[in-house]
Amino acid sequence: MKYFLLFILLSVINGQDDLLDYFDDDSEAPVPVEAAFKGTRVVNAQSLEIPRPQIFQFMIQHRFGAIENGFYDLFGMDDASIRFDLQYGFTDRLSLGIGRSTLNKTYDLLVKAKLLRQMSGPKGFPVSVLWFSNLGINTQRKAESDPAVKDAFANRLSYAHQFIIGRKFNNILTLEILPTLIHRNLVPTKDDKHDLLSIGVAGRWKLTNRFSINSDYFLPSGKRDGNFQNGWAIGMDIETGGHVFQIMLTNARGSYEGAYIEEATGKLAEGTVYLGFNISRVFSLAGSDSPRW
Amino acid sequence: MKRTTRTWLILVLLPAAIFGKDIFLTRSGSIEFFSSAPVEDIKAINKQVSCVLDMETGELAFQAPIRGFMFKNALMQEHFNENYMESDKFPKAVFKGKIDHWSNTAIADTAIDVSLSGSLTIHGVTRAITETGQIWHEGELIKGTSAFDITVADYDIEIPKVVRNNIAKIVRVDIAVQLKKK
Repeated sequence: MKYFLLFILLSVINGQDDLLDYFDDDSEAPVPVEAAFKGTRVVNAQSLEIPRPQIFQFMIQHRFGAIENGFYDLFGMDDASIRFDLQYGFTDRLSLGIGRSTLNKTYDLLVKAKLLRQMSGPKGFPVSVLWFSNLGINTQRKAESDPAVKDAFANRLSYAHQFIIGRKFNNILTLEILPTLIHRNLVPTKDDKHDLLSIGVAGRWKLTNRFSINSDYFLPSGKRDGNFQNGWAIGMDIETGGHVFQIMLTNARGSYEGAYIEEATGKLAEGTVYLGFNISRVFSLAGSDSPRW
Repeated sequence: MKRTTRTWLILVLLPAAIFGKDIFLTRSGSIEFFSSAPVEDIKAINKQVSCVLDMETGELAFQAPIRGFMFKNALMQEHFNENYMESDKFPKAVFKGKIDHWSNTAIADTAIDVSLSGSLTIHGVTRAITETGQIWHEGELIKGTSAFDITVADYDIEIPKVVRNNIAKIVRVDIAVQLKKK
């Protein structure tokens, strides 16, 4: 009898008093971590994001002139160096794009793919790994005295290859590193190397749901020529619906990889740094929902 | 049967008989929501909705994983989770309540109107609600539907001014479940 009462007591305690207990809690199942960054660029550097499937993203990367002349040219605003970028998300892992820069009248074709995705939860895969490559085509008219370029189209080409390895630590902090190889088919002097290795670090600190502070920095491996400066940028993201607006200060004039990683020359102390902005707009081919549903 | 065995059988079965409940449930119910604003209409559907109904008491509960809402536009879905619902912090929406006047409710082959009351938790905010729904039998199944409006601001979900023409202040929610006996 003693046991009987005890058993009833236990049953009452164990009984599913709360209907919610009937739901298995499988919300812990790992899912891909989304929105590590607002945009596909951190500032200059490639972020862990690509346009979502069936989404066209058009971006204008605008860099003003150097701020060194102060109010005379309103901190460089009379001058502009632009890159247009059109990118399309084919799947949630693959995007292709094309860009065109003022700097050296360079076209670039790019591929950016998510090889591994960070998964949520303690058991999830801890980082995302992306592969980025581009082919740059310098289309500037070259003088007759520049026979190397005139002679072969191949001399106009350059390549960038990157792995982007990063982690969204929480809703606030995302960090990534970018081992980078840049290959130029034609170099200015024979002392210059065709293959340049560097490593980038980049991150964002999200202050509100729609605002974050971002930065990136590239550290070269091996020797560079005298004018070379390590490329850096600091900026902020402002998101409004389908737009991401990024405002920055950087020491690089161009917005393709070869330019902001290997051709940055600006020095903060001398004022040869540039204000700029990226503005992106997305267009969904899937369309928004028609009013007739 | 030996006496001890019989005692054990009673010990095991009796509490089960007393406390076992007549439970109907599903894990694949659907919730659809519609936002209709001047610039665009937005729709999302969630087919991972759990629902449980206690046939003895009329007590009822729903649970929906917020990340289960699927949008046509993937970017909208990301914004929904990141900027509005904050799904990392508030991964699910939960309703817990009862069907009012349960003892007078006779579920039949044809739908009858019922009133549901209880607490709805969205985005970490819990509010008491009373809404109407319909319930009916179909073979072994019990089916239920409900449609009502949710005022987004009631649940501390902020809509910035720049998108106020894109996102409605009040969204319509359609719920449909097919419950099976547990």
